[in-house]
Amino acid sequence: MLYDFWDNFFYNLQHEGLIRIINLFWYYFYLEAPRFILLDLVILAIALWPNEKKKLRLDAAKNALWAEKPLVTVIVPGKNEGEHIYKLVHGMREQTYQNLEFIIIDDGSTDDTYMICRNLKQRGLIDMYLRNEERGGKASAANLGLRYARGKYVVHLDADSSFDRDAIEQILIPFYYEPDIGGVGGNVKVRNANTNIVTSLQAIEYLQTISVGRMVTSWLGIYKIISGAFGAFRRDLLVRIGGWDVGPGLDGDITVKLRKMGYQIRFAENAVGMTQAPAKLRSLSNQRLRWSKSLIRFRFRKHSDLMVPYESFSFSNFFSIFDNIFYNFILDILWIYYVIDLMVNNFELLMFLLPLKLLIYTAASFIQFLVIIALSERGRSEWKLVIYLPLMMIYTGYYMRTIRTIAYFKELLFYSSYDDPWNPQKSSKKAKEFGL
Amino acid sequence: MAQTNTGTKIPNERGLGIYLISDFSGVELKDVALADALILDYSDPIGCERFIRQCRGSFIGTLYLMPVFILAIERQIEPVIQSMCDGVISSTQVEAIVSKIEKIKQRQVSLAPIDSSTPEVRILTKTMRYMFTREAKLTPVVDHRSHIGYTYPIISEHYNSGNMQDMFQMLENASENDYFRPRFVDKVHLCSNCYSAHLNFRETCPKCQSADLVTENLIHHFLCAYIGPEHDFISGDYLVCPKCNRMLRHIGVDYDKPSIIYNCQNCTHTFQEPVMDGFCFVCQKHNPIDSLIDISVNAFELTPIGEESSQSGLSKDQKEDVELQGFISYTTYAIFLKYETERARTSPKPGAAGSLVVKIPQKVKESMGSSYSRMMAEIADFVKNTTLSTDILSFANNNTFLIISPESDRSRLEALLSQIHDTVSKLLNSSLPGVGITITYKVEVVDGLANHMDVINNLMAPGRE
Repeated sequence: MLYDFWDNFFYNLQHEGLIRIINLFWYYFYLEAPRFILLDLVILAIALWPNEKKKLRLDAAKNALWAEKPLVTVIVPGKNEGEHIYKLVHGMREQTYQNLEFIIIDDGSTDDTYMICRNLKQRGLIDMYLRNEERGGKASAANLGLRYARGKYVVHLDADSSFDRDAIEQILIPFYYEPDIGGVGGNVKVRNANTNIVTSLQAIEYLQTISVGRMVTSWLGIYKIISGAFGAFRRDLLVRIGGWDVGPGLDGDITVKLRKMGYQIRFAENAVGMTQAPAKLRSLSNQRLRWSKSLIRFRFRKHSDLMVPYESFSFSNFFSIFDNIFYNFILDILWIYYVIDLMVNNFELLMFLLPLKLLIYTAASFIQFLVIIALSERGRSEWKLVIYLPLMMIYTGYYMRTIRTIAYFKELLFYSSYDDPWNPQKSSKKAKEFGL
Repeated sequence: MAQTNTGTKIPNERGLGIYLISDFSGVELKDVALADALILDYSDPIGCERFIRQCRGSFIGTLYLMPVFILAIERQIEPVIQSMCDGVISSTQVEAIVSKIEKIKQRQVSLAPIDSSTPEVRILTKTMRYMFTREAKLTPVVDHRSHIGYTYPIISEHYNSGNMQDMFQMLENASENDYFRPRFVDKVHLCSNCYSAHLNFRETCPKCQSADLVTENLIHHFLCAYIGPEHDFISGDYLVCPKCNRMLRHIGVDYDKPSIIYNCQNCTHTFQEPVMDGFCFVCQKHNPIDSLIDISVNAFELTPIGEESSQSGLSKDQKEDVELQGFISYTTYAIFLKYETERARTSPKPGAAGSLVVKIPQKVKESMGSSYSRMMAEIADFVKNTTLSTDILSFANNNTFLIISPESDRSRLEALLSQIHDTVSKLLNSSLPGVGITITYKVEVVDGLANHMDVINNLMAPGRE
């Protein structure tokens, strides 16, 4: 039977013809491949082409940073993160850039975070420890840190992250490389990639969508989300926009707010931070439901004005949001049509198309992965993930797409992000009432 | 009633020498040494206190063990004074106290003569004997004038603000040696520098230690997630969010106050956790709370071993002094001083005796470990090399250098000790800066009129810094 299956497959492959296959796979060949394979490769080639002028500018930016050596405030909001904060603060002592002001904001922790942070404060390892007895949510915790920050730049970190020795220095350099940079996103990778298959797949996904994807969008000027796990901002701009708004999805929201003010957002691929990815499918699903809902809440609703011409309309902002909406929301809907169309009109070909799809996806992923590994500062250890590439089709093509689609419908129809326990109800209720 | 130099003798049916002293100006301790008991008139509280302190502070058994009563008519007696006397009476009818006097006298009979060695042993011995003859506990008394807030009758007469740690050490040693059974009374928190209990506790700025702090509520606006101190929101009589300009109307609905924040008015530092600071009124040191010295103030009662030892002498050495080469023991020093006073009586040329006390806080001593002994040995070497070969040197209490300069001018010894003081001060302050070391010295003339024990007691009292 297996023999018959493969016999049919290769027979079809020989006789269907390239044009016919491309037409059958229109969704992939016309929509996904040009954006995520071709464009990525072209932009990467341009962006990374050896360029002496660019190198000199980078050196000059680095020198300017060290000449000024501004105070940088690191704010770390969190609840029950004492153990992580302890490791984070000790790890940060290794940073090459040390003119740092550390503000830890304890958002109503109920564990021993207080004792740990108090000890760190007494030992002079953190500059300020602010504690809210009542949990207010991540946005308010970050805003409290911002209220007392004194640095010229504010670096926002997640407590469970860790960083390369030069990560802070690298995330600051773009501010000196170009004018009008409002915020810089760090290159977030998965620290626990080897825990299980769930984290390994996320590690590949982060490399594809963050390490490479954001390098490309940044080059195109449409980079739209500074990760909350590792991002740097000009403090004066954060103060002007009043800091973070009620989440979930506050990372993307604040990035858009900075873009709307006319400032550029850049991705610093050399500023590497490691984060702890969810190791269970359930928590991963919850996390991604939350992330995907924010597309509807913030892009469709709160910042819908970006899509219509208005007095401060900007094409880069428009494309930034269009890229996001088209390739996530619209193509997801289209994908449902595509699957139904295949099942109704070409059902007999499904047995041929599925393995073919696996082959094409894996081959494309492999090419992309080779580029990633070649570019990565820790390619040798990341290369081991290659064995999981065949599963990426299922992970991104089916699992993530399903999660995204569910999230979009739940948010569109039920405004369910406002019920997410990630944020305290007292804030979500008000945000919903005022449509924020 | 017969009026004598020792006061007024109160007749009694048992024929005891009980004297009432009302005018303390003309009475000296030695005048009352042969009395059986004294009644001190509290109509002159200052004189009364001075006299009873002298009496209990003496090392002469007949004096410090003397039954002393206080005659107080419609006057409140200070608890500290009360703790040093054997009773308070309201009239000179002595029948009620006679039996007590006889009992004390009777128990004194069993006390064997003791050749005390170190000052610590002498103080402990007299305290134990006092407790034994009274069948009493040694109970600390609350005393606002005391350096540590509590006074121990008898013992406290021999310790001043500079060596309180030695007193606690002695009591602890005595308990370890099974002379005393301690019972917890209170815990005191003392300055880490000078052992004073006179501390002002206040919340201070962690940066500049100023107590000039202002607290403010933090306000969290639910709608826009802005959070900041209350003054950010105040707009006239209203609360208006500085981020979104909306009015905050209802706590719990629009906003809450999740915590408070401190602002230092001195250095503008902002923080949430002020440092509790114990400011010492005596040495003006700022003590963080966790650096304060916690000491349990105990009452003590004599154990059977303690009772036995108080009669026959301490069976175990309370504390060994560090032995230094070229330095005689304290007992021998006392004998030499006695000889020197006797010599001075028959010679026109007086001698001089001096002391140099190096006080290092107990905490620092403990942290130094064995290097403390090495350091004291080095100072001893310096003292030995600076003094004349004819000077007699002793080392007591692990911190006191005692010197006798036979047939020598007071001024020579004073100049010598001043020189040693300056050099040792420089040395210690450079090697152990800011730890609260005090070095004092004192010089006494040893002439024909001097009593060698008085000279020693004076030398042990706080000296010139």
